[in-house]
Amino acid sequence: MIVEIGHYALVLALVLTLFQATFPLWGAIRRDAALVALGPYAAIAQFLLISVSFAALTYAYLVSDFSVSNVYENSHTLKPLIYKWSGVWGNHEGSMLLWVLILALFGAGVAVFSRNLPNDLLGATLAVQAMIAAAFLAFVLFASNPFLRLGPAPFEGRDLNPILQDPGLAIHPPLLYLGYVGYSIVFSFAAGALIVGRIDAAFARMLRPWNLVAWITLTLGIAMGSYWAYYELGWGGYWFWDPVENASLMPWLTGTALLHSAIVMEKREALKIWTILLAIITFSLSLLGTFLVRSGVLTSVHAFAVDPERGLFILIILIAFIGGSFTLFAFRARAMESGGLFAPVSREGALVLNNLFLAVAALAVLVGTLYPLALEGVTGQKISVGPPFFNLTIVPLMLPLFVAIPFGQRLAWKRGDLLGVAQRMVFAMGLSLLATLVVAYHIGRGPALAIIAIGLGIFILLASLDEIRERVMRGGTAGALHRLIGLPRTFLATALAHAGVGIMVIGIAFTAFEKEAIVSMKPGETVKLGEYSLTLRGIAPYSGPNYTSTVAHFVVHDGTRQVAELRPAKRVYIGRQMPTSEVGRHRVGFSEVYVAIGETSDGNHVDLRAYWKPFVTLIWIGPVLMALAGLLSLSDRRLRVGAPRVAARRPERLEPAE
Amino acid sequence: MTLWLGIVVLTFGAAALALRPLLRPPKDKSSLDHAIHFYEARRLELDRQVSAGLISESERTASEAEQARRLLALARQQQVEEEQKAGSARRSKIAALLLLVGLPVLSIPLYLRTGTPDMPDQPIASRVTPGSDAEMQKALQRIELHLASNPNDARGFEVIAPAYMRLGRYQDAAFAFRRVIAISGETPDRLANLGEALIASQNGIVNAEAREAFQKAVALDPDLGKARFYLAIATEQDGDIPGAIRKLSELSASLPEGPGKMRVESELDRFRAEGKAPPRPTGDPQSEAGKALSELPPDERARAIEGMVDGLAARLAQQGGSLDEWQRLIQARVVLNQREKAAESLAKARKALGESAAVELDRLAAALDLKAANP
Amino acid sequence: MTRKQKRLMILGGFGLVLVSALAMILVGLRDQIVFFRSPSEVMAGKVKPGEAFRLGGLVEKGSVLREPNQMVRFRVTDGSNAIAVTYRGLLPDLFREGQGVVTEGRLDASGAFTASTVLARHDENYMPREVADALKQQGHWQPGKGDGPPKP
Repeated sequence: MIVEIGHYALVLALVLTLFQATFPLWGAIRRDAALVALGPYAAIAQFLLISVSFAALTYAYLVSDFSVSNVYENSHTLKPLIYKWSGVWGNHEGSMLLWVLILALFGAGVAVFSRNLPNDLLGATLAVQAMIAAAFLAFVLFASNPFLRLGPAPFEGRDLNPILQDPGLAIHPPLLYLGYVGYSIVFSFAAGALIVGRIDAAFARMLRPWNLVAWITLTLGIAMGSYWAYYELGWGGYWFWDPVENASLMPWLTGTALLHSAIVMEKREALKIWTILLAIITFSLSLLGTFLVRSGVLTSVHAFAVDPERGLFILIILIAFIGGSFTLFAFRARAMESGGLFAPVSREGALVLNNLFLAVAALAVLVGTLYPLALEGVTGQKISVGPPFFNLTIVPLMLPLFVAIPFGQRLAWKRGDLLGVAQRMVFAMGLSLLATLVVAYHIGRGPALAIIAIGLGIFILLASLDEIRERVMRGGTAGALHRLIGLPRTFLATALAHAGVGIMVIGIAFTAFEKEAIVSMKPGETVKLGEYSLTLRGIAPYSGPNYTSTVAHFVVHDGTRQVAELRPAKRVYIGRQMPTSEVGRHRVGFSEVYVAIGETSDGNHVDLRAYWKPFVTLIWIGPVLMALAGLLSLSDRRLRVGAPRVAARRPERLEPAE
Repeated sequence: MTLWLGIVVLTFGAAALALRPLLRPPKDKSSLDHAIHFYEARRLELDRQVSAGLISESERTASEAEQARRLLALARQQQVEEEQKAGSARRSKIAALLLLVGLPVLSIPLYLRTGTPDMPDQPIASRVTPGSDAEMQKALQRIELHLASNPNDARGFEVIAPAYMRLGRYQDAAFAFRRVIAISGETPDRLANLGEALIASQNGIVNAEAREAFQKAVALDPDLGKARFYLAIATEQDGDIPGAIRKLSELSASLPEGPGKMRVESELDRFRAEGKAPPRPTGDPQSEAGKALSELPPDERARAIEGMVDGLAARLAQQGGSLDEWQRLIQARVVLNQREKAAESLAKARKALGESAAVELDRLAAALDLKAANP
Repeated sequence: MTRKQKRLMILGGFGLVLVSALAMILVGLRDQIVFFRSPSEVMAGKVKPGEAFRLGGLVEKGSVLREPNQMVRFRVTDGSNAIAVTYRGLLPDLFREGQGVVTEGRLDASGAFTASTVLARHDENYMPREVADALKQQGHWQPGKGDGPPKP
């Protein structure tokens, strides 16, 4: 009964979205407040219905109702409770249900916080959101329905996949989806604004919180996925340029660009066309990501659904929305008047530069991800585009962007003074040069590019902090604390987010200096890892509740002092011939000793891969700081108003914004 | 019943929530009001920035001028667009009606198409009845624990493997069969069981390991029906349909009547339904005539078949034939519902073939429930 | 500088960034991609020694030889042909005889393949797509369609 109620709620939600997609739009065109207001209420009802549906599926998982095909395929009575629960979205059908649930959550969010939105924009936005929801609800119901039942229900489920039994993986997909799907509301706003023809600063202000929420969750989702791969797969890498990773990186790059261009739009009414375009592109890339992951057209270590029919369904949705929005865009773009003027050297100019580099980087990732697909389609040749391609194209794009960050955030609006900015940063530059030299001296020889990148990271970090200092100390130490508290939170957020970028760059650059040992060891033997040494004490079998494992016992020495004991293991789950790695890690400050063992053929020696990974945790601390900065900015409800610096002499020639 | 109550509650709950604003229309927030409000707020923010000493008075003036210009432009645009809000009540009525009727009318049939309304929930806790799977599960867990500490106990794995198969844990069953083979060696049956478990775990796909197991099994015992059957299926999955049909036909011919043969025949029927395999051996299955036959209208076909069967009977009576041909003739007579003639043919066959075929013919007679007419 | 010149300069700057990025992408696509080959294609001489490529297929039964110092030798087969592979390092968790595998490396002059990376399937149901295709071409694997034999 509960399962069928859940099924019906999903069907009802689909039908309701059809009304939500039409009535509010009608109201927006006819300026009928009552009809428009149907939008928010329908959006809330839609969210409630999909919640009922999701709850019903969750219930089926928790009580192991194997008459539900999806539960039978993906669960097992012996699974620990938390993994029965996370199993709901650990498979294709369930994860698509989560997708539409989150979509509805954003729609309901707009409905609840819609008091400040003008009627026409609200109606159009929620109508577009409902169209997306309708498309995906139809996809769930007709191409991946999680509520299909099984005739005589089996007595045991089929899946006890150990690699998916991980707390990180239980949280990762929802977070990533929050980000992906979050951009749907950004898209809906953009399409809504195009429909009603009002694209101005007020619009950018309304867009801001949704844009931030999507960006924060996507940032956290990507960082978390990267961390999961690092500690669970036992390869010691944090980013593999895997198509699934690329699929999440592309919307992040354009979403970050959008975050910046929307500031220009809100403050200066410039870059309007570009901002709208970015909103459309970002969501299109999110859809593309969903398509790539869900259709299995790309080879990927993550893909779990390979089904051409589903792929075709999503492809049609993809083409309909991208095509539709670009057509709308083409019709309306000309009607947008160009906004405030600015000189090339100005805050606006810097943000444009940022957008240029981020967009081109996204393009490079897109080409690298889709090229194998296109080539196979045309010539039938199978190729893989791996890290060398992405390193070659992304690194040269990111380095100039990173150099520009500290300058950009200090330039004045409308007309900036590059030389003055440089002078203000002499202190930060000197300090970071010094720090870099110290680091370089300390690690000795190494790739020059990595040293430069470390220096760059330190520079971004110091310059960001220095800007806060400068603002606070303006006018002496007296009242500094007061000024710190009084600083606009968006200002602090900018500085913090950029500091996060610097931290991440440092972490990534330091991977060039990691020490690696791939050896075969007998008990009693020792291997050097930089300043640390790793000694194998013994190898022992161990039996867990539903697995057997081989545990290697290591001690880590720093010189002669023992600093840690590590017990990396290789687990084999009983009844399944599926081994998993349990990595042994010892953290020293921001750095780590990392040991993964291979299978032991006899009990006498163990194959292992051990690393000394200096400052590796900075790779994830940076993005977390960026996300926190996003939250800080989200909490700042103040309006952004640009105050152009008035020229000392007569106004110079200014460049039009677009 | 509760389901339908739930459906009604959900439908009208959703409709009521969505229609709420139509009953109590909210205050109109026009774009112009909103814009004025927004620019007012911006002005205040500029004031704050001036008093905080962040921007100068002249900067404020410049910024305000810029905004005033935008506001004016917007106001002009709004005036053009402003129109009467007449007809709101009528539109609300239409919308309410459409929604109230449309929701159930669209969603209930749609649900009936995709859903299974008469199937109750079946949580595992409510399904475990004493004496059956609960005890089996417990016993299973005991054996699993035992095996975890005695991984070389072949008997234990031999016991647990069929239990896994029954529970649908095919992966586990395959693992157990594999252990049995590893510990106590290969026998045709063990290999075939392993192969079967592997196929079940792969949703019916014969993978390399399963194929290898069956090949070994057949090498050890060429008559092992199960292994030959799955090898034929593997041939089909390789895309070699004629080969698969040939193998299945051979297997079918070699099997006595019974569940095994029916299983093989049902696979052959599948091909027959697709027109890939010749029809059941009523006439001469290899001939072109057989193909032409299947294209005839029903009664003509029956007549044609009868003619062919009579022809076969005449030929066998005159020239004699193999056991296979005689069996085919007898079966054909039965299929054509000519039981007397079938019995007659059976008797002729016994006479023609002599003692060598007596056993086969007895078996056939038993399967077809034929009393041999005395010659 | 006139307004026009200034504008041209900015546009030129943008164009320069775009063009160099595109050039980099193209160079990357020419030099940094790796072709996927099945053992039969390698045997047919489609790969020159020293050229990096991905070799995919099934790990041949009974071919895995583990030697000291983490050297592993095994053969990758597509059912018709097999190529010997040497690899030094830890094998992925799901590396198994009879299972799909993708290895990246180069052929030496004598035709032996040395792998720098070995990827195995990631979960229960996953078969690298190229491997599945290559096997299909050799007629040894077909995806399950509805008319496979029902479960016993």
